[in-house]
Amino acid sequence: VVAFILRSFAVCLALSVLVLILCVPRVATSQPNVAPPDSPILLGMSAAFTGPSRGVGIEFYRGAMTWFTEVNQNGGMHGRKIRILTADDGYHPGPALRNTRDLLKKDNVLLLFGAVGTPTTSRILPLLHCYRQECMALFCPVSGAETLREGTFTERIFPLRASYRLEAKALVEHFLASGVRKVAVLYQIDSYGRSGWDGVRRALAARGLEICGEATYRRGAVFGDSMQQQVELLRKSEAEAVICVAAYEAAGAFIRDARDAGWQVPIANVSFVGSESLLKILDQQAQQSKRNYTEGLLNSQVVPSWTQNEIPAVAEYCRLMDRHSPRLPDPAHEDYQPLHYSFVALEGFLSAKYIDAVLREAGPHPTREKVVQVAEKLSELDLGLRGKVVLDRKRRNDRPVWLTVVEKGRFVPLQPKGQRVP
Amino acid sequence: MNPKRRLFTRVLIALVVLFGGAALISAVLAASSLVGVLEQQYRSKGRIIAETIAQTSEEQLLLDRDAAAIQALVDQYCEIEGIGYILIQDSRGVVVGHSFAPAVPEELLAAAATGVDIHEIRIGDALFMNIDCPILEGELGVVHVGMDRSAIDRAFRRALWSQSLTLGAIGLAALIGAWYLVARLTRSLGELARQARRVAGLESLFDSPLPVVKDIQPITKRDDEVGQLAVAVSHMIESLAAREQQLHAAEEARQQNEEYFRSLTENVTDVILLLNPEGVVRYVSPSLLKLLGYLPEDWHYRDISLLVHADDRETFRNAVSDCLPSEPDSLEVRMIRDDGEIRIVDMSLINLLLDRAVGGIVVTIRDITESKRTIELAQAREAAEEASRFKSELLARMSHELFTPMNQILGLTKLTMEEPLNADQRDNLIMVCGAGEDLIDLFRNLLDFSNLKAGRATLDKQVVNLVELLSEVQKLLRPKATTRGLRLTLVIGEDVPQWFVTDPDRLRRVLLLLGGNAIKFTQQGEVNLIVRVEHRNLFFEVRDTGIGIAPEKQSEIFEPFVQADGSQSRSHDGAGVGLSLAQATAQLLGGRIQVTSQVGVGSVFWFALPLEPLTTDEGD
Repeated sequence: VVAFILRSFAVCLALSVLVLILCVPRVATSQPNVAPPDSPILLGMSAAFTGPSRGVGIEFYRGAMTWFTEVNQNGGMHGRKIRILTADDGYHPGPALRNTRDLLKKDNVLLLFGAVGTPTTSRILPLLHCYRQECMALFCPVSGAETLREGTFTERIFPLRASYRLEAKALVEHFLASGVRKVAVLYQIDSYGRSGWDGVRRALAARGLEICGEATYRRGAVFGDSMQQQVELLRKSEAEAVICVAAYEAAGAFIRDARDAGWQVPIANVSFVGSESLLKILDQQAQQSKRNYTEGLLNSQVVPSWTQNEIPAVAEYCRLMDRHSPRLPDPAHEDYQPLHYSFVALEGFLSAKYIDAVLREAGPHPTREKVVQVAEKLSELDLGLRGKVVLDRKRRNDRPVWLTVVEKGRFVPLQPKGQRVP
Repeated sequence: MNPKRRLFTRVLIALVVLFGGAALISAVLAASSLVGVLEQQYRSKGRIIAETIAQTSEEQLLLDRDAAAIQALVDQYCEIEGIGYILIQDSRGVVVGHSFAPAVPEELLAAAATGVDIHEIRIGDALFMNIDCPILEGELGVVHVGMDRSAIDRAFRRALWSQSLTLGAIGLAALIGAWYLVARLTRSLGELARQARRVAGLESLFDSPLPVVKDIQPITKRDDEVGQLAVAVSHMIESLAAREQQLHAAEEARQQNEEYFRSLTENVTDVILLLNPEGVVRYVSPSLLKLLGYLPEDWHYRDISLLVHADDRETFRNAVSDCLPSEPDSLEVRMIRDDGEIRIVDMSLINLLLDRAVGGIVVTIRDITESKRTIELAQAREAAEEASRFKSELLARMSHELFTPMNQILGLTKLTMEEPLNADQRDNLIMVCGAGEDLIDLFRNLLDFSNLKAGRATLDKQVVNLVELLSEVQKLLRPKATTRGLRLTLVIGEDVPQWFVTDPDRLRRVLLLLGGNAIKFTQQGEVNLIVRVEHRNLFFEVRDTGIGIAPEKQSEIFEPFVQADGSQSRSHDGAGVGLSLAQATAQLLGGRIQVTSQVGVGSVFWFALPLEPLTTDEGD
């Protein structure tokens, strides 16, 4: 009897030890988004920090860090610092997917933030869907693709900017208003380009028109590449205006080759092009060939021009950027010359303020669920843009778009009188 | 070219050709079958992709979603290996997604517009396998997927390359292995061949029979056919070497033998001839030159009977032709030298016609001319000696026969003188007596001389009282000296021993003869008999002051019957046999009489006898 009791006791002890061993790590892993109170709040950012679209990724980061630095220097968010973990995907879908997964699983970030580009972001949509139980959310992707705003797997995406469709619509309407009937499209042959193309198509279709001609280029094209074929194709279509859905290097190459070919057609770009980066390479080219490449350029923007100091958010951005001037993110090469002010940085700044609002609402112990809950509830937000930004998913087409033209070496808001193309 | 190399190269070339051919054929076959499989696979792959895109696009197209969604599909699938292009058209034919830059090619749009199922299409330089897939049975549009043929070509080339490289590597390994094996094999074979050549080339095996086998020994350790071959070859070489050695020994013996006989044949003074039955010379030994002065080679295949004296030629020819195998024949013939001299030779003939080794008649010719002459000389000498002996015998016998009547004459004369006679009668009888005694002396001397010359004289040695003997001699000589008015003296040296071993009668006789001779040839003065010891010799000297002997005559005086004056008219009586007898007797005693003389002054005759030591009991 004694032996039986002893044996039972031993078995029980062994079992309880086993259960403990099995349970302890499970308890630890089952609460991955509960961070210690004093640890920084981690935001994951997989973006293009190298390659032809690095300007977008880097400046967006700097803009965001301008605000977060301000927050961190002022006591942090509920006493916790905010950090952005960066990962470079070079504007390629594959690395973007892997980076995102690593940020989610290994680095255990609270939320994803500022993914750059349509093909890359499109690729991580299924991943977000996969992690929907853990409420993994992506805030403020730098992409206007419609696919991030409608359809499947988009419930955890919280974009701030207007869609390409809205930008295209604004551009098309501008051109149509100025009497142009034949609009051609140069686009990157991927989902970004297609998205812009679709926007133009729909805008034209709304007026009973079609795209008169189209040409494509492959992602990754650089300024040194020739775009003469594309220029030829579009010129043949007798286009009166060209809308580029491109990265700045390719767009710059196209503008250069078009102007070099003596084709003085108005050329428009969507916001993703990175207006300052485009301007920079065109200025360099202009110095070489003594030609004005910036005349007749029209860029749509999802933020106001940083020259518009009358807007409080812009003024704040300029002030804080002057104060902090954040350094480059880790993956970026040292040879990149940061821009002083830029549209993308301003977008990053505004995005950071959006995150700020969400986190502030989420309280001192934010979890992924809480972040999503707060974000979903947040239908309007005043970012200092003279009027609240509508964040409601259903009213996504109410987001603002600004048209800008080059003046004195920078993009400035298009004045009503300048709406007519010379 | 080295045979070893040739075999080696052939094997290697065969290997390379075989392996290279096999590798190439196998690579091409494998690659072309791969192409078929790849084409099939690519087509299936394209179909799957097209169907997937078509299915996924349905929702996007139905809900009029952003074309970016469809483009995202295109982007995604375009990354797959082998996809050349993707083109998606909606129901109105509007391209809503594609993968071309800078634009969708006209030819593809044109082909797509026909609505016919496109199997293959060439765009620019590239060839694509086109797979069409309608979206919702074509109600919503169509998906065109182009599989890049160059991808297949690339795969084909890659497969061909990797196959070739793999086979090449294996081939190289095999080649190296084969190289090693063949090199080993050919090395062994080459070594065997080399040793076989050595053996075949009659290289001396006895000098180094072991090294040859030793060289092969490592090869024999192999247990394959080459090893067995090597064992066989080494055994062969060993037995060959043994046989060669035997052969060599036999050959050496044979050569020695031949040399021996040749040497014998060619160095004997006899001439050896080998004749055929007709008498023609087949061989003649070099001694022909010595014997007859002809060169042997001049008489090859000639009739040797031409050298035989004409009188004996017939005999010789008959002997040659009649010579029987079982009976050696011998004959004596005369042959003629090249200088015409006749030589007498002894020929012995042996018929060896039935002897396979010789097959002829062997004639041995021996020159017997000299020996024949020697025999003749010996016979002559013998005859002379016989005559001399007869003379001595005669002399002795005659002397002896003379003694008896002379003694009677002397005896009767002396008896008669006892009778009373007148002075004339007495004087006559004294003269008869003197002449008779001289005659007896002469006869005695002659007898002695002939006895000595005939070798019949013997010595009767005994211990003699030398002084007594000398005194006796002086006493015997004195009457003659006194008669001739001469002074006779005897001088004996101080160291002359009293006792002396000799034949006293003979010594006395020599001294008497010399003394008598000195007295005979001395008119006046003196005769001295001197004895002394000099150089362990006993010197006997007889000096006179007589007429002397001329130097040219001094050697003749000891000849029998010669007198020194040499004239026919002898001034001195005597037969002239005295000195000869004295000399012969002195020689018998062991001395030799010599003479020194000056004409008109005198002569010294002297001889020496060895002073033999006496035995102790006879000493003093």
